[in-house]
Amino acid sequence: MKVYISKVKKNRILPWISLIILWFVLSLVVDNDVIVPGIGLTFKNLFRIIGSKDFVITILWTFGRTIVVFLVSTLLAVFLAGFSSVSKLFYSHIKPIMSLLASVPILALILLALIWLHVEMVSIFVGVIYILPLQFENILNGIQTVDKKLLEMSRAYGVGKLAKIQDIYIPTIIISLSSIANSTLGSALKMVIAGEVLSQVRYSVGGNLVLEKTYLNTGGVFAWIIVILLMSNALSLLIHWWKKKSFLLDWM
Amino acid sequence: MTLQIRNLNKRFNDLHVLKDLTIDIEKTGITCIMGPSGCGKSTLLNIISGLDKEDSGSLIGFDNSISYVFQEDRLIPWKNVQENIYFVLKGKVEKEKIKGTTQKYLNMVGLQEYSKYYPHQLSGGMKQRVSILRAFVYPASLLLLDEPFSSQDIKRKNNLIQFFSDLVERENKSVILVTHDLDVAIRLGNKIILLTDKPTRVKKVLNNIYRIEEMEENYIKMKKLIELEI
Repeated sequence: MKVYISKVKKNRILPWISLIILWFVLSLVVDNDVIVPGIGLTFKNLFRIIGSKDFVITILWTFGRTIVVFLVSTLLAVFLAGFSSVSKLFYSHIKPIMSLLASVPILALILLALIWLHVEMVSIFVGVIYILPLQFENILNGIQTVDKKLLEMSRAYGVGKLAKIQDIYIPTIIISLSSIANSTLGSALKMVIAGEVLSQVRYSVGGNLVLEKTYLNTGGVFAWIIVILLMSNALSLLIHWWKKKSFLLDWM
Repeated sequence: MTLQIRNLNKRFNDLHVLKDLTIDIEKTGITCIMGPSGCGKSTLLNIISGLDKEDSGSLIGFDNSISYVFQEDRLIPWKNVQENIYFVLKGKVEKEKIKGTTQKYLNMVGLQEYSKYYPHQLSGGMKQRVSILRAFVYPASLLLLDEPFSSQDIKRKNNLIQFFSDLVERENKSVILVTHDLDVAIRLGNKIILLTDKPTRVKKVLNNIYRIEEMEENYIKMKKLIELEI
């Protein structure tokens, strides 16, 4: 068992080491910090960024936008999928809208959002538009795959509608949502940052990426990418913590 | 007063499943219903429980308080044993009493230490015990069972039969048990009703002498009687 675990760990760390070696070699070969900044320079930038007085607030704002995107799109998706599952007419209206949203290039949406919305709303709007169709599809799928035998059992025992929703439908939806929560939150973060890059809103990771690029400080861009990776990992940990706290891990 | 099923008919498209089916069910004790597979035994239970609707005929003396044990345990996987039982009691039993009643039954059958277990932590036999217990805790005067022991191996089946008959003895309920298992019918049924193949009618009604006097002789007699008919 121990051997197996250490093997898994090794397999997780090894690719990162290879990647760092590749980066190191590449920076030596290219020998131009604007194109491929060296590891030392990148980490110097990273420490500068982390040490700056606005760092924490910047991170918190981007995290906040990501969480808002996740919650808003999930809530919207729950309502839309809920109505879709009871009304075919509603579903026939919603379905084309969802596939439209899923197929429009995200950059086009950002441009539209820049015209329509306050700059602060752009990244949230973009994130919601991107996540919503994924969550909608997933929740609808969850509702449709509810165990029919459990529903029949509830009916035989005269269990009320509310209890069925609360104790069978909602847990089924939460289970199907949690299975992709990691990738959904990750996508939300990416979309929010993309929106921030173009809207250049104050206190944002995306805005800072643009700033570093404007000064041709590629080391700074690399450093922010490392920050984003860490943020993405923090979100994974958050999901894991939530799964552990909620009923999800108890019965699986 | 008996529960009466009168001239029950049910078709599925062209298939005449139940034809003028007439059965009397005693208000206490176990009525076993046997018949060839696919003859509409489950359909009959579904009509009695209200899960399905009859085409014509009448059910007299039945009320809405019915509990149902299915072939599978049908426990909610994300609820533990205790919560699974609460689930069917909500709104039927006063809130303050739910916990006490559940606990009382769990203690009675020696399942109290499993009350916080999730279904996946229990064996197949244990799960079916919980599902049977759920049916007994539910405030119903009529209990329907659809092949409740059929997915169990012999040892588990024997344990479950014992578990079930102990509960029936303690609780005064009317039970309809559908089975294709001769052994189950003889060991549990006070009355055994044999059905024909589709379109299904009653072929024979037997009073089970083995349940009056549990002697091997009687068991063999009943077995022969049933085997003659099926």
